[in-house]
Amino acid sequence: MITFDNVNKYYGDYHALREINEHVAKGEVLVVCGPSGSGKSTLIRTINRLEPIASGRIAVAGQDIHAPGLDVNAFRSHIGFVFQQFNLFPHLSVLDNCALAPQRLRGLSRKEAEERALALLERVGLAHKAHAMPAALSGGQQQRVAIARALAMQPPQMLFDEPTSALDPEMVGEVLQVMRDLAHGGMTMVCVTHEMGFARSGGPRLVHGPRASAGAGRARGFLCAAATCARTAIPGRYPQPVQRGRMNERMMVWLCAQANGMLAPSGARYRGGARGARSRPGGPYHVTHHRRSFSVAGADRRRARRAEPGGLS
Amino acid sequence: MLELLHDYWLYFLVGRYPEGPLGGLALTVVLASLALVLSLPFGLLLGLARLSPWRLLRWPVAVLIHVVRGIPLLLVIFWAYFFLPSITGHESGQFGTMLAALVIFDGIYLAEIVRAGVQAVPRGQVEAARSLGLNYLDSMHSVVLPQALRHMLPSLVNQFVSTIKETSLGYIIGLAEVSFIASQVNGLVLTKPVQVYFLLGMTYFVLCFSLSRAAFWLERRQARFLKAAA
Repeated sequence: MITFDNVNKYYGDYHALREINEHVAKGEVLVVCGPSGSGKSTLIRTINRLEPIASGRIAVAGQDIHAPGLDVNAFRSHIGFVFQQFNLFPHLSVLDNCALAPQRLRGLSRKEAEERALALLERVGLAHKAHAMPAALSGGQQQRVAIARALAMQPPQMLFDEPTSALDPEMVGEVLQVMRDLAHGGMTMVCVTHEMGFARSGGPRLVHGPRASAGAGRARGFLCAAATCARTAIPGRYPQPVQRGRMNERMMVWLCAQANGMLAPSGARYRGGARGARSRPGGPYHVTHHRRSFSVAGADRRRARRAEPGGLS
Repeated sequence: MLELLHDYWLYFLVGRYPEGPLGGLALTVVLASLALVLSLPFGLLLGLARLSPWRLLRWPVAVLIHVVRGIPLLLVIFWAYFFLPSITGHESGQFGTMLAALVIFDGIYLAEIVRAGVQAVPRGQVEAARSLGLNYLDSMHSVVLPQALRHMLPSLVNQFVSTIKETSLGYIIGLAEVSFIASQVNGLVLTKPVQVYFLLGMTYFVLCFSLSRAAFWLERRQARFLKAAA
């Protein structure tokens, strides 16, 4: 569905994306974690061409999205995008936010577009706010509207760029629930997040980044530290402490889950990436399988619990 | 002063109308309104051209803006007065001359206001619109400009108030607007220049002040509208 093929991107001299190769199949959910500055947002923004790339190829449903001459507007309308800052249109009501693009681009009448918008608002639990202005909503509600707005175009895939990072902790749960429902419904998703609660519920596949192949031990160190946002690397377990500055450039962790793995039990402790590690032949990535989803030690686990009262477990 | 009002109020309001052409306060209001109505779309086009991704559009407009902004309005009026007939091929009259000068002069100021307003709209708004698949014009029209207009409102009012006062420069080319009429009245009465020009000042003040108040009311209503809960 979404394929990265040797993608490189630079900001000036800084090599932001390094030889990215990855494939997200239909119905799969890819969760991208990593410390600030590791290129997560850049990566997700290249998928709908909000950012240009220097070399390589990104294909969505087989179409090279960075191909010159491509009607990028038509293409973007099939890729839902949810922003960290919601970016609702403040001058339009919640309903109009969701009904605008389908009217313009899908040829729906005002009535049809509003019906569709209302159905989606119902799905995210905000039908009663349809006529409110965005400024009257809480952050969590705004983000749910933003998800409904993206869904109104009926895209086969959705991209989430840190959808919960700008939210107060008590609002994170409601947004994650909507995303979980989506994943459960078979939506193909790529999600950049710091939210370990969501990543934790991801399951069977763990992919980690470019320089991992430099050495298995170091790779594991990177993996752990990056996965826990470079704060709670478990002492003694990994051979080398990871320096944050170096890691930004080197490391990115991708967690990838089948939709049906999203709600897997998450009691098991993360045991480190090396167990059952398997190199994908020819690729710079290591693909790691582990039996259960992982949970994060210490402060991050507590934070995840606080942030998400209902929990997954 | 009452005597002055009693004798000359009609002349002050409409000039020599209906025997002669319309003048006085009515002409000032008509000229200012037309200048507003015409310079806004003109300024909008110039402003969008200045933000355009195409250099071929951006650069000539930038040159025009810098040139016109660097010269006084009086000079623009002279140019319109002396050059416009030779360009268009026929006499444009004092009213047409003044209107053309005002539209050009205010248009380029409005262009800069439009540019500032559009650039003040957060980048995420454009990205959200574009990532839904809206094209450049659609996202400008439905997302960026409505928000930009809100940012622009105070500056727009500023500019419109200026426009009203700038119509008084029509005096210099003999346009019978309210300042011109006031000086005529002063010439007829001779003994009461202070009162005549005081009345003229009050007239401008009332016009401009009521426009500012109306705009302020509009701003507050907008702010309430944006926070409406249902």
